[in-house]
Amino acid sequence: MKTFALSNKAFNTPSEHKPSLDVSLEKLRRYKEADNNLQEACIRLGIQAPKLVASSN
Amino acid sequence: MDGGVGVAVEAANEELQRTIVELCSEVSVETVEPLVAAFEKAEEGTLIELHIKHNGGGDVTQLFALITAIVHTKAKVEITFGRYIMSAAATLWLWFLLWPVPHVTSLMPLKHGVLMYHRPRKQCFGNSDYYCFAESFKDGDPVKESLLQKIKIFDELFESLLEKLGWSAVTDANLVIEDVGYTHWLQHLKEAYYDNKDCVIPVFPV
Repeated sequence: MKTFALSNKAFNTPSEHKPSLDVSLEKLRRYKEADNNLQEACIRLGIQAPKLVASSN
Repeated sequence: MDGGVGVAVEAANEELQRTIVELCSEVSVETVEPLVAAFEKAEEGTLIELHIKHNGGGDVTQLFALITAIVHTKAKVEITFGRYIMSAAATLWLWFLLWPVPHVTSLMPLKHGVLMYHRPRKQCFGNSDYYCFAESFKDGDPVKESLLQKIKIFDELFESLLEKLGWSAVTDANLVIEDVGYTHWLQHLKEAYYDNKDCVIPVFPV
């Protein structure tokens, strides 16, 4: 596994993006749409919908 | 398991009553459901600190349920973390750091911490030691298409992270000096991420 150290300078610089609800709402809408498509496809195929994990193991 | 909706603390010098809730150990139905309920019932004029503590991540569906609850809550929210945050837990903290919303802020840790980020994956039924990524499915498979749509959001968050770290200022990702090739660390990071490897990132306090 490759490991990279971040400088805190980069993390601590103020965000150039103005806080906006729209960005998050658009991402959440797309996630829901993808999830609906997945459920429908799995029902059509008669299979269990695969669950994604983001986990350290 | 520890964690869940925690202690209510009111600091004398704060305008808003601060309620501290914790997301410990993992992202699962058990750890997320009480938090979603807390965010849904929170009233305007309150402040919730969501402290993510030594969290190894978990279920992507629960991650999105929690992000949705935070985006829609009436409370002000501060997201903090301690020790390490991995995978789904790291995604939560990075989401509001890189895509801030007016009532939610991700704060830097007070002590040194570690963040691990990667593309979500699918565990093998019956043996969670094995997993695959969306690319493992056949082209044209509708399941693959839907998984790729979901994963694109994780890729976009990673691209925002690269930008935050100065990717656009990198003019040469590769250098050759005295016949030896060198690659910029952000290029290494990018290659590791898109090769479905875990990216481990130490985070230092302000």
